[in-house]
Amino acid sequence: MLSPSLLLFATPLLGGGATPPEQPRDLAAEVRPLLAKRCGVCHGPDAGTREAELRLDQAADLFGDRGGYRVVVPGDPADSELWLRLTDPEDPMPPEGEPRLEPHELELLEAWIASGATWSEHWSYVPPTRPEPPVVEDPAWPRNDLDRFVLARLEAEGLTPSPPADPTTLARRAALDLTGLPPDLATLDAFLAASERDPDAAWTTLIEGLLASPAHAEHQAAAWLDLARYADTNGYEKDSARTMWRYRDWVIDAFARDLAFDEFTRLQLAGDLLDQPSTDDLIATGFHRNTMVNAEGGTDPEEFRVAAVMDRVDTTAAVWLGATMGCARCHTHKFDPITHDEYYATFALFNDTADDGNALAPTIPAPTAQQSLDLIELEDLVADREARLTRPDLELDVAQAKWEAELLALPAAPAPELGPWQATEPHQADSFQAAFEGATPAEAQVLAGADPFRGFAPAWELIPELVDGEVLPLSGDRSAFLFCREVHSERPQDLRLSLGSDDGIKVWLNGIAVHTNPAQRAATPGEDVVDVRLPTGRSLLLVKVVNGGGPGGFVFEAGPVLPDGLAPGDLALLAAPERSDADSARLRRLFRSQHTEAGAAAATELATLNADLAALRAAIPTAPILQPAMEPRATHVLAGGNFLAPLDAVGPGLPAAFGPPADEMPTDRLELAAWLADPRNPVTTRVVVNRMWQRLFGIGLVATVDDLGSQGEPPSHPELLDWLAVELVESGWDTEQLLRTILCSATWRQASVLTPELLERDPQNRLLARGARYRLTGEALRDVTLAAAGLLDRTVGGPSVFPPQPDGTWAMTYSGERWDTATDGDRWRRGLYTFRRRTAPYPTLALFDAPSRELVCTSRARTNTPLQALALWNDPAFVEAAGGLARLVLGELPAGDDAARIDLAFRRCTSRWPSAEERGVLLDLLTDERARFVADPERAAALVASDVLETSAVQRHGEVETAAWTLVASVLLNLDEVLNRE
Amino acid sequence: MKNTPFDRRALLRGTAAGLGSLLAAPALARAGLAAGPQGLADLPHFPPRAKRVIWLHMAGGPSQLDLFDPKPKLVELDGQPVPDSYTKGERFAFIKGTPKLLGSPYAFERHGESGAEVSELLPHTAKIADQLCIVRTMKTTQFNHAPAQLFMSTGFERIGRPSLGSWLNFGLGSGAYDLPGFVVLLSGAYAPSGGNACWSAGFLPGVHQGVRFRSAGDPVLFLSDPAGIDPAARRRSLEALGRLDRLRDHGDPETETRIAQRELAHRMQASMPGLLDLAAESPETLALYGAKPGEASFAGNCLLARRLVERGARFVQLYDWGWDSHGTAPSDDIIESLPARCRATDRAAAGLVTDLARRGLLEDTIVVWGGEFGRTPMNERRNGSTYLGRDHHPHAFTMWFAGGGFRPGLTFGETDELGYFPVGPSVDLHDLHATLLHQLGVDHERLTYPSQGRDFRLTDVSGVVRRELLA
Repeated sequence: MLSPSLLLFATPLLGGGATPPEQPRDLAAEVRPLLAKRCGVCHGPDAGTREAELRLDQAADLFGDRGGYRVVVPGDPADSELWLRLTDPEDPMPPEGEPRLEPHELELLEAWIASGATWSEHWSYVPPTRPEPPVVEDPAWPRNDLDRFVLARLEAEGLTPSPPADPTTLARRAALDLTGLPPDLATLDAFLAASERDPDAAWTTLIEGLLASPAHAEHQAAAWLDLARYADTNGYEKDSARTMWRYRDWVIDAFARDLAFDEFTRLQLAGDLLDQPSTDDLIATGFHRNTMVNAEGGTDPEEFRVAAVMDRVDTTAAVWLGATMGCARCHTHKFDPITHDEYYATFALFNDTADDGNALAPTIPAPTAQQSLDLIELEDLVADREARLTRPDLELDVAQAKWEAELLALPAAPAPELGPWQATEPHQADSFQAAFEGATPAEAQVLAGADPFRGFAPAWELIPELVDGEVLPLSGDRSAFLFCREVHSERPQDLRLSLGSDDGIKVWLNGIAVHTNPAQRAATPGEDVVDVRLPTGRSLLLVKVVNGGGPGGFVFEAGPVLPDGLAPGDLALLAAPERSDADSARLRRLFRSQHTEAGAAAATELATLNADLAALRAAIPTAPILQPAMEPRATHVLAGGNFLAPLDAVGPGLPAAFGPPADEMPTDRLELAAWLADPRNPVTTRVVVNRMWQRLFGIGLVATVDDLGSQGEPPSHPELLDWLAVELVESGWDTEQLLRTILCSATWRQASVLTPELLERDPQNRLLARGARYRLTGEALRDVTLAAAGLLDRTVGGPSVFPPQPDGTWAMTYSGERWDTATDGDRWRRGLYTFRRRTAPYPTLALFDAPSRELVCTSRARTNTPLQALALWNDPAFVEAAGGLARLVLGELPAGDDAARIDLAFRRCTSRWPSAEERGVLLDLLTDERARFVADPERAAALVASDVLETSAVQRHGEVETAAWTLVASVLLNLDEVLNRE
Repeated sequence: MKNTPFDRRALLRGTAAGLGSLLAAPALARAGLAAGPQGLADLPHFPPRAKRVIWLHMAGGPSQLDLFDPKPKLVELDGQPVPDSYTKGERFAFIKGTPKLLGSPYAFERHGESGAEVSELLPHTAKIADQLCIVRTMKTTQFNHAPAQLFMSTGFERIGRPSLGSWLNFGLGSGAYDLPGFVVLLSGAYAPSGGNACWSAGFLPGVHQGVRFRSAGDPVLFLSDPAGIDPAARRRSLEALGRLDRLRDHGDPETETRIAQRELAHRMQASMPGLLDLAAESPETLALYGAKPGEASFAGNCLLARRLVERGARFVQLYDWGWDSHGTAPSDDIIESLPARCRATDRAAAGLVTDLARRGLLEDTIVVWGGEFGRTPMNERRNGSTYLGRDHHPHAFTMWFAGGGFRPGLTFGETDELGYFPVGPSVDLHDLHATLLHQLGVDHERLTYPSQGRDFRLTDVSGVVRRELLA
């Protein structure tokens, strides 16, 4: 056995490159996870499975007196019960049936005890403090403090940093990291020229320009949407479409405003709990409305509501706490200090909202900025015309008094007799549309001639609650309500029906449709006025009201048909001794619109304006929001995570390990958000900077970005992680500032060339002796390609778009929704705008490891597969990009200089100039293909006709030339260098 | 073991640059010549009895009571209300009130030396009865399609876990060098309700997910080059591309992997048309399956499945949609619809087993037949429907297994007089998965993958290898 001192300072085996521990070795950091893993089930946080009342994850049990013996006696293995039990020749721990400890594990424990058994809490549960940047041997290399942490480590490892990448590579890297797009050539050339004069100033200009661009906000948002599990559909079996993009645009806007991360957090987790939240604050809460909704028949909405709340807990834990809490749904976490009860305390924080598991409600109208402006303008115009019709005016009012007197003198008409109302059970359909258009069984029967007053199924029942002139509330989403009543008239006469409905309404008289209005509105009396002609004797009036969602209602009045658009009831108004303001306004409106010229004009305008307003309101998208439930819910611990098996009730809180002191535990989401941004919170800042590091360097300082707990990996540079975390907080959670710090560091600027030595020593680049090189995300690949080809449409925000995808991708599901392939600029929008269907993801994004967005994704895989090669050749976006790039270089440079065109195409793809040899390969390819297309012009014609791009370029340059360049462009766009961030 | 970057956990997370090397190593080693991605070094855990699986999933849940589990008593009590003792506390997808029993209108006979009982709806399956291991007491916990299908294919009722085919490709390797090792073939009007999640790789690297061959257009996404780019032109551009990539050599092994993967893609472009060309089969073989070249069908998919496993595919998953016999209309009842589904599939399923057997492939190929659950002994009569049909039934249903060391001629398990609950031993889905993995040389407790803070396996925390089903 190695002596303890030797072990203590031994450089661990690197095994082909490593995450070497700190010098000297922190044995406690290795012992803690070892004890958790090997002994934790019986001697860990879970009281339910704990044996011998012993916890090996707490100092008190490890070092305290246990009645004559101690588990660990620092410095003395032979007197430590832990060591004695582990090495007991008769009955060693772990007990029979459990795997034995490996020899090196025993060695570690012995060395740890012998060297004094230092004990510290798990690193990520101790709040970070600003470490002093270490002293380095080469003071010339660091460009800022960040670099000193990296360099000190490299020097300790006997490694030297790589040289800085060349300016072109750096500019491309910066553009890719900050915007997900290549630098455009004009910006690049300006930067290169400026760099000659003053490299630092040029760099600052470049970075600031990139940070200020809308593309930067889009790129940041694209990454955040993986965490938010953003999608455009509900998930589960039906997976129907939802309107969610206002949340996506809120995220883009938040990054464009450089919203501080603590505020960004607060709005998304608890915007609805602010005092008087704005529409934007509510849209932000869409973060946790990205949970799935199950509308499958036979499902229990509570089951899926609970599943959604659990998803909110797990997502919050992964995104802000770097913890995998899912295990604790069913039982206390075996390794990390998260108990079963604590899971449900966290659950209680999110168990306060009104949404249920099978519908998207509650949602709010969420106008865009432009729509909000239009709305104000239209509403002002409406108010103005309304005022012209209704404000007091002596002259007009005198004329009106005369008109009123004439009306009152009219003889009263004999009224028809209206019978009592009957109704059937509501009938639910899949959509408002289906409920409105489709006939319910009762409706079909009545319209086929059956008489609801002569008894048949489904049964009609009297509803005395429906009183003329009063709104009858209705409830049931996507439901049709049928009402009918008899009307008796002694002679043929007109009857005016005055209707109000929430939402759509249809009316039949004696089986003939007399009114249809698929309106979406609240029910108020007199919304629709319909005149019908009654025959002599009995008539049957049938009314169908269809409620889309939320509260519904119906109100009915009937009376004689009066002149001048008077409604039944208006006559009574005229005769009434006093008038309310509303009644006065109504009568003035009636009079002026029909008996004055100015009033008629205003009324006509008003009708148009109201129609415009209605159209605008109908076009306003909705956004699902978090909203506190009317009735507070009790939260229970759920046995095995089963919503049907509640145990004890629990109050809100967080696991003690990463929550505040017990008396400050958050009691709602707002307090949770406050704690996440509290400097005493040990994990959140580390999680945030680690994730940012992962995005820039391809792997986090802690590789397990979703798990900073005991089973996660220790950080490669613990002090650097803490330094960055403290920087973030002290900057006021300014993540953009942090990006600047990193992008200005020498560490980030290193060349990414991999030497065989570095590949052998550190294949994952954990030591940071070089720049990072990794494949772009699916979205970025698409964007980079379309940008190189000059096709990319830079429109920011708006509804999700439908670029071409293979036929049949959507035929997969029951849904009747269709993928209507865009034929305008939407065909070439950035990848983050592509419509995301959870059960049928956009194929090329999925092939490049984009998650389906059903659950939170903190780090994407980066696979390298043959199916990706096929997509890069033949996905229409990439085929069109090749054609587009060919047309672009043909159009931009004159014929006759192939080399210049090669150079331009090459630069558009890679940002750099080709070497002579590279140019040679491409010229050879071009010449060869051109000759072949000349020999086979039909093939050239077929190739240029295989995309949808405009054909004028083809006419100008010829099919052969366009085809040859398309092929060359396709090769360029497929270069490994183009697919990677170098 | 310490967490060095080369330990399995770090490699398998897939975030590491090392992942590409893991996938690429075999492709590189063979210079694009011999075999596709390999599995884990420590697999198989013991000598396997079978090497591959063809799973015929009858999506919707076929009616065991009309196909494999005859119940004379149920026929006798046809039309009577079901006794309370059966349905107390039950949750149904659609049945409301007290339903009435529904006897099978179909005749059963004993077949072969084993005397296995098969209904008249499956005459071809009846002929291969002696090769089948029929289990009448399969049970699941789910009574809706999507969760039940997910449970069947991933061992868990919600999305997010890897499917059996993905586990096998991950653990044992794909087995094919110019084809994906996990192929999904669909027939019937729709895809299964569980959707892509049924063949998802879950938290395993995405490369292990099932590749759905599409019945229209390219069988594999983006397989066809644009008009005007013929194979020779593709070849020439690949040469130029490879040269340029190597000129720029950045020292990153991913670059060589990409070049190798492009080559594999190009080979797939070449091999796929031949694979799919069913006209290459003899008329006798086509007739055995009832397949017609150029016509997408379950029969064609069965034949394609054989051609795939011949070429090394590890796992071929067929889904046939249309077995959800609720009886709301003739299109989903047990009088018109169920016999139609049987006619569309019976000959091909039996033909597949026969064909594999005569080619010597059945010995190490497991064929699985069954749905995600069974159907109730009661008539559903939704909204007063007059068509005969049955609701979803998770407690006891029938699946059969052929080849790969399953015991031929065995009919296992018994249900009560109404076919409602098992009497005696039943087989749950974790047991099924454990047993299948066992036949493939995999200890189901040892094939694990770290995710969300713990090691996951296909069988979660249970599963027993059911040796009584094995030869």
